[in-house]
Amino acid sequence: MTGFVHDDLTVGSRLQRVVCEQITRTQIVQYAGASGDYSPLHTDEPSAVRDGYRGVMAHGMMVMAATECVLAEVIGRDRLIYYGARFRSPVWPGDTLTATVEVTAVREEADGRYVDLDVYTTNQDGVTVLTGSASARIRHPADRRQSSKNGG
Amino acid sequence: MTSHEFRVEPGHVLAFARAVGDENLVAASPAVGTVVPTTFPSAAVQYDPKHMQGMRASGALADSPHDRGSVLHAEQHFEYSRPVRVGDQLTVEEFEGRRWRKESRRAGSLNFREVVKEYRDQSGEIVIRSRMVLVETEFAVSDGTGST
Repeated sequence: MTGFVHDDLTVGSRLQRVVCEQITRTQIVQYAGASGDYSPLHTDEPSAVRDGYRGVMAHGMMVMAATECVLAEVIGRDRLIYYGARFRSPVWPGDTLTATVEVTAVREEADGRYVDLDVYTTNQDGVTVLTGSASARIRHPADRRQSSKNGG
Repeated sequence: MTSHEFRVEPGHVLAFARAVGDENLVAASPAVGTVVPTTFPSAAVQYDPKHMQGMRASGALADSPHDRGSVLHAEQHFEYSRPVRVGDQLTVEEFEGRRWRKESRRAGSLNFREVVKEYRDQSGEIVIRSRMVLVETEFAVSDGTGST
């Protein structure tokens, strides 16, 4: 599946794609610079090894952000009302991550139509590194007014 | 509670998009009004005037373990009232949340704590409420809970 039309979202609709291909230390440093999280666990290999790790690991928030790109394709980021994640396993340089977003519910409420989604990301060995969920309001009264104005 | 301003600037959004491989935003600085990646507000710490002064992190990022082990980022949650757009000027307030403790066979004692942030626009309306769960482990955990 390569994308969704909001009105076609149904329970079980699913989008899966690679979001990070062979993560590099450079990408981790790039994320540290953009996000402001310069923790030695992400930026200082000798320090991370001294702390008992095999080396620097990627930020959980970097994985959450990469995964969000798929979420944005599915529902459009302007409609998101909730996005949450648990970081299940470390992500290391060299890992390739695949994110999956699946519709679990489509709800009609008084103020619009809502969609709930499960989100998860796995590495090249099939280990789940992130699980989460999201909700979006995909249609509300303003959409209908705009649609009528445009003749839709 | 701590508080600081957060201006959503196009160059910052571009740098973030390139770091996470956001193909829709990597080509050029986004125009004012562009909806930003929904986890981008976590980068607001860059605007905390105390952050990385003297090479020391501020707020939740300032945590360090008391002895061995690590402070890992276990969970992150965002609730959105409206999308954040390039050009927004927000105020970020950070609060301490709940604290709890668990025992783990692999990582020893796990001390969890929540950090809650509220992002308000210039009219004082909450745009985002975020909740971060941090866990301080007794020992390093290379293949288990939390990736920070």
